[in-house]
Amino acid sequence: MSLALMWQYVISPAFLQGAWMTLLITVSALLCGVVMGLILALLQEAPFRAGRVVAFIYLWLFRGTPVLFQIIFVYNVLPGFGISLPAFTCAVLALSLNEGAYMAEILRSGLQAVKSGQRTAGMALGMTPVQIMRKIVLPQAARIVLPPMGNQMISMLKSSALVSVIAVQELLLIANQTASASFRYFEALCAAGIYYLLLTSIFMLFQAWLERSLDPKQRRRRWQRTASAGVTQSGSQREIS
Amino acid sequence: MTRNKMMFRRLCGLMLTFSTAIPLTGHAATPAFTPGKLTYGTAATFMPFEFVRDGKLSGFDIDLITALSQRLNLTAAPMQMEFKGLLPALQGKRLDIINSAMYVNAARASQVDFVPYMKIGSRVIVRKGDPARITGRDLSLCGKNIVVTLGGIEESQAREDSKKCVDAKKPAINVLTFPTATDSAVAVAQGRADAEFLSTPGTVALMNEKPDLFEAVGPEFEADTHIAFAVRKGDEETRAQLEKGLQALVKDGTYRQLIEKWHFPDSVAIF
Repeated sequence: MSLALMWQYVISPAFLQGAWMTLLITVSALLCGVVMGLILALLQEAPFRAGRVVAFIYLWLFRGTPVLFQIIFVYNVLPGFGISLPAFTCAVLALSLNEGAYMAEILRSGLQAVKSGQRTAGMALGMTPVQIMRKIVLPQAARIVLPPMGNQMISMLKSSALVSVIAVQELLLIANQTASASFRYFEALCAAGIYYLLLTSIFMLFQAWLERSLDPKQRRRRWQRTASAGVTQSGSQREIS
Repeated sequence: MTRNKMMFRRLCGLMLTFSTAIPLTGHAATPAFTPGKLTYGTAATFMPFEFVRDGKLSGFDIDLITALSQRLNLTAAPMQMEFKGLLPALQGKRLDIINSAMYVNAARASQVDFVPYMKIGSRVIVRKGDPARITGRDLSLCGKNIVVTLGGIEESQAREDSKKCVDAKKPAINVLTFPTATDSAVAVAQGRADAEFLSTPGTVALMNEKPDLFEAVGPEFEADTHIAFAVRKGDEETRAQLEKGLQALVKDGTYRQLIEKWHFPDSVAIF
């Protein structure tokens, strides 16, 4: 194990590009996955039967098969039906389809955690269903779904390594390519590990920031601080006058 | 007591329960090293050297090591894993040797000791009809998508060629690596890649299986690539055993018979 060589790998352009590719796949697949998941979660709650059936079949299919199989299917089997997408698109597509199924369940748990009394209260105030969703349900659901979504974010970061089977130049593939000719596996894998930890740290910081900014206690405290500052100021002004 | 503290205490209690429960269900790891056995690692995705057919591990390397072990009064015990897992397993003493048609180069030789048993070359494979107009291993490859097997000699050859293209002021080669030679061939067949670099024995096998899908262009190149067993650096004992066994196989003609059995050209023999 040579630390110098590991460091050399870490700062090499190949690894940097690999890390960038990993980040790009992860973020694109997450964004598409959340949108997919939201649609599915709403379908599951839909008043019509067809929506629930569609959502059930989707979840059954995409949670029930390995994501590696889904990647290979999109890449190697779809061309047989005349759909030949580039490798990167295939990677993002397969990962987001899979992610959508998991996100759907997380979002559904968030939506269901908001008690029906809250919606009734909204209705009593004369709010429209859209207003109830936007002002009452979503702000509360968002706080509930954040920790499991953080989990999904980080697990997606690592699932993205699976797309190396379709020759997308992501971080772990770069590490394996580097190691296969020189047999310096530990150095190359450690260099990749450093990047994964770095990306995970960024994701965790982002999650913590999001949780804090959605926390009503924090917001109230901030509001109180500005309010109390205003009060003392006006108080002192009164003394002067 | 605040609610948070209560929660913390409860969690601690839970963890204690789990930590006492886990060791009861754990099993002791079985040792990979057994006396009287030659444990070898192989990535059985490389026709015709090592592959699984009808659920059985077969190929030239498998026949060779089985015959070799018999000469040494050992039983050959295969451990199948991915190519990239082989070297860490050897260094972690899970394996006695690697027997997976590994090619020899200087960088690799600084990490393991090799016992060569064959030399092979490579060919350029394209889709039938050569739609990308590739004439062989030359500048007609520049700017094309070339697929290779991850960890194979062809990967480093393709990267060298890419440099040659750049030096000749031509667009670089886009080298794509797939886990196995089969995946690479599928990429060529589907038109995702223009050509594949494949070992000569691999080409023979591919042409036998799918003669109507592929063709080889240009002559064989770098026909002196040695492939070898790998042993841990400094493991002289195993290395001497392997060399002894190989000599015995060459002397009694088994080595030649195996080369014929797998339809390799005579030029692959190094003994």
